[in-house]
Amino acid sequence: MAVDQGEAFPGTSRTLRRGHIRIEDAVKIYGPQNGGILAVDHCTFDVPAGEITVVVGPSGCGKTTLLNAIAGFHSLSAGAIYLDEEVLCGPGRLKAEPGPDRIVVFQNGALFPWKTNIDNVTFGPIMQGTMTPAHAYEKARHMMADAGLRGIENNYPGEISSGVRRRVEIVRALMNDPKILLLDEPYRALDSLTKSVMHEALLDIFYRTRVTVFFITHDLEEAIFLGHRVIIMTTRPCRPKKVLDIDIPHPRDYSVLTTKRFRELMDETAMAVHEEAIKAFEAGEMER
Amino acid sequence: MTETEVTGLRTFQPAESGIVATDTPNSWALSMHRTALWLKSPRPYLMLIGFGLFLGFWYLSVEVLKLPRFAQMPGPTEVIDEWLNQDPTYGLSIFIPEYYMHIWVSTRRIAIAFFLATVTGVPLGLFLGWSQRFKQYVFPVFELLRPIPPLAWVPLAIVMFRGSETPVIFLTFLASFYATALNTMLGVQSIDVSLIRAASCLGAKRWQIFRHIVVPGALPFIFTGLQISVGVAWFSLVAGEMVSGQYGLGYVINTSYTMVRYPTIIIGMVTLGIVGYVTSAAIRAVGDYMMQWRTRELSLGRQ
Amino acid sequence: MHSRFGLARSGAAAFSAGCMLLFAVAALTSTYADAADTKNYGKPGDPVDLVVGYQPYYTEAWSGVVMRDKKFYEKYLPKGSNVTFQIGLQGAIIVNGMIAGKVDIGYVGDMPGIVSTSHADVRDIRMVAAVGLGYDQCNNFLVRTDAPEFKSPEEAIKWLDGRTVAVPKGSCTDRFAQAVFKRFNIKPSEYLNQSIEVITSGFRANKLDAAVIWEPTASRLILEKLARRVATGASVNENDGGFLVMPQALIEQRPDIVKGWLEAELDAELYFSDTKNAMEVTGMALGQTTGFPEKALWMSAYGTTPKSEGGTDTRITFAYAFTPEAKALVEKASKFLVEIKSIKTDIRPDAVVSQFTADILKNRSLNAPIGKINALPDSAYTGK
Repeated sequence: MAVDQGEAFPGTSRTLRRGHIRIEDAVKIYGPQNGGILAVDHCTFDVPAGEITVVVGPSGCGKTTLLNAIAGFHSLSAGAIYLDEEVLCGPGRLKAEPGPDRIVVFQNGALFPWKTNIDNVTFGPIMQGTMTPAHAYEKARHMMADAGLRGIENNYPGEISSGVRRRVEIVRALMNDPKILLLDEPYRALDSLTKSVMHEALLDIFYRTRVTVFFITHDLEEAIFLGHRVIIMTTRPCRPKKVLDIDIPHPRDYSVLTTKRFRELMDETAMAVHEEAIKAFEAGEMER
Repeated sequence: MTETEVTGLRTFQPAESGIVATDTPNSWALSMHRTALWLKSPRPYLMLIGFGLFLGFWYLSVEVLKLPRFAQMPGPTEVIDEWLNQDPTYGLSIFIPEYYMHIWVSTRRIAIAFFLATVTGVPLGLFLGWSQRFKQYVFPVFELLRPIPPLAWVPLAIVMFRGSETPVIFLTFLASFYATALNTMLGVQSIDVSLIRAASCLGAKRWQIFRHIVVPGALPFIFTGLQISVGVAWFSLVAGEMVSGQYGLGYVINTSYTMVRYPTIIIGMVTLGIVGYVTSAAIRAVGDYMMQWRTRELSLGRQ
Repeated sequence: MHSRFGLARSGAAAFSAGCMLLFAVAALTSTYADAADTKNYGKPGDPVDLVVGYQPYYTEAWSGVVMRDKKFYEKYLPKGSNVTFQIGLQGAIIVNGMIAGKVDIGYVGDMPGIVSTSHADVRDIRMVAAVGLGYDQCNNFLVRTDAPEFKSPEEAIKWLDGRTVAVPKGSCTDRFAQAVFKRFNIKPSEYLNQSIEVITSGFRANKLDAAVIWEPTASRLILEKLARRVATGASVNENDGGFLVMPQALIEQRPDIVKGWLEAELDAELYFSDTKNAMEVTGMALGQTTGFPEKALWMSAYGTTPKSEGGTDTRITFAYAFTPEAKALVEKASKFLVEIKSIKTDIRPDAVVSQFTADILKNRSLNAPIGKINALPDSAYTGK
């Protein structure tokens, strides 16, 4: 599919779009090559730069495997992944190296509990040596303030609520100016009230930075609310079943949920998702 | 709540998401607070009741009821009488300077052995947990030697090491070392792999991950291991001091046995228990201090 | 609020403490119901089960070794009696076993023997026979092989001043060493309490200057060239002895058993004292010990040591009954033990039961001492 340019966001200058991911014919087999578990089956799709792409699918279908392959935690068995036209992993090099251009925000949170929040946030630049500590801390304070996290810099992650922890984690990622943010069901463990606030916070950050977002979830409503594009995956082994461009205009807020268009989109996709969910259930999928 | 020009969305302040107040108390205040809570709780009194029950049982079974296997044991009155006697029958009480010499000598041996066990065991455990290759070479030998009790090492220890103090320290060091190394290794293995992945995403190199993630992440297990390790060191001390032949609580216990001085055996045991308890508590305290993030998390979690 | 949980938890804690207490009391009272103090040995004529603590690693008390092999007691104990022999590496271990009521008859050296009689409040134990007296059985001063050559035993003893000396404390060697140090006004820099294995390793690793050790370990160390003998009790006129001890309960309840055992003991000592049986007795000891070369065992009982090293002509005198010499040893040793605070008071007079041995000797028309072993020349050894 052609790279989707998207619409320039009204009120901002056109920013350099980066973070385009192309997954081409990816295959992942866990275990021995003949007779192992086929998690990803010749999967091909695009993640346009500067947009939020959401992948929806039943648990265990292999979507996390794709995210891990992009991040560089797992290898592919076959196929290739490109980032901005450059090979991340492919034939000859089946595993990418993790790096600050593709930062993951983890499902159960991965702030370092023994570092204060601001120490966490400055971790990336300081480890890479791309900023002096003074500069890093200054920038961190700004970014945290911008994200509404002023006042908790010197607390430990264990002292703040899990919703706030997610936001700190996202700021930690953004400090490194990544090309793409990889979010692996980040709000799964939160209650629905906190979740709705998190969604708006994420969009807020997106509108300011226009970082490419690759988001995995099993929650269809979340997917349609957040995404420019929603890709519905089949149950394991996964491949795109249905790709949807969400034509609800940005910026969005929660009032969007009650619009007619939203309902229409939910109706269109709910059936597809439900089918896959049933297949997954009958196949007795295990939680990954 | 402020509006931004760009988005028209609200910005989110921590107060809205409901987190703790911005001025958290410092560590000292927290420790005091927790001590005060502890004193107000039933716990210290249960502890005293526990000791009281134990002493009462000892007293009843030996001196009052004279139960079958118990009548031959020294009773608490005999032991306490000897222990607090200015002129003890068997020559050891709190008024005898030699008593404190024994305590000092044993404590010093424990301190040295424990220190050595920690500085060798923690790094070894960290590497065993961190490097698969290292583990493949080293772990099998480690596990083969580990079950061998200090007592079995006595003859080798005497021959291998100069003087008479070094073999004792070696024997005390052994079990301590294994406990520390093993717990440290488990500590590394217990670290959530997401943390390591997050660090590598953020551009940390392998040694940086080791220093910033693995070492602090393993600390809770390391300190558990250290508490076990000091306890095990005290166990082994009795075997080790067999070799030294002079001074030490283990020596007191061994010699009192051959000299048929039963109250003194108990005095040795009780003293060892008390000193051992203190050392264990000291390590706990150090651990609490070093892992502030955990102490705070726990104290805010409880009422 | 934690109060609800707190109460529940403290309730649970108290409940479990109470349960443990109940369980412990139940377990104890339901065990093998000894009377608190005395063991029941049955009526005269009944068969008995006896546990004998003896020391094959202590030559002076080898009558026990002979007894185990030759089973002389079978002739004198009631039919159906069972005798179990337990090896003690040190007299103190056997004494502890007797005080705990687990051992009925003990072959021990003089110091543990006297100490065993001093805990009558826990268990009343008495000395009933002397199994051997000597001057170089218990009392052997050994020094490291690279120590200087001494012109006399006294010089050797004086050399120990300011040096590292090891003994197994609570044994006959402890008494001897401390007596000698006092007499010669010597103070070792370190007076270590070490078992014979640790002392052996210590000599091997050159960590000890000297040790006082009993036979046969003394001969073994010398034979293996780990140490040299420089003085013995003969050098300072200090003798040592092995004794047979029994609990008063056994003596009171079953004088027939005491008599029977002592008859057998007389047979064993007679057998041991006959040097024609030297190789056979050595063989018995070899079979009941591990790690000792046959020659060392033979040397310990029968070998000749140069006089300059404290050698004596008579290696063991079998007093059997409490001869004046035996009694004198007990008295002297007892006084010394009080001095060094090993026992609270001097040995009580009734702790030495001399009646049985006196009667048996009378019946057999024998006189104490009933025999002795004189040192044999090396050529008498016909083993490996």
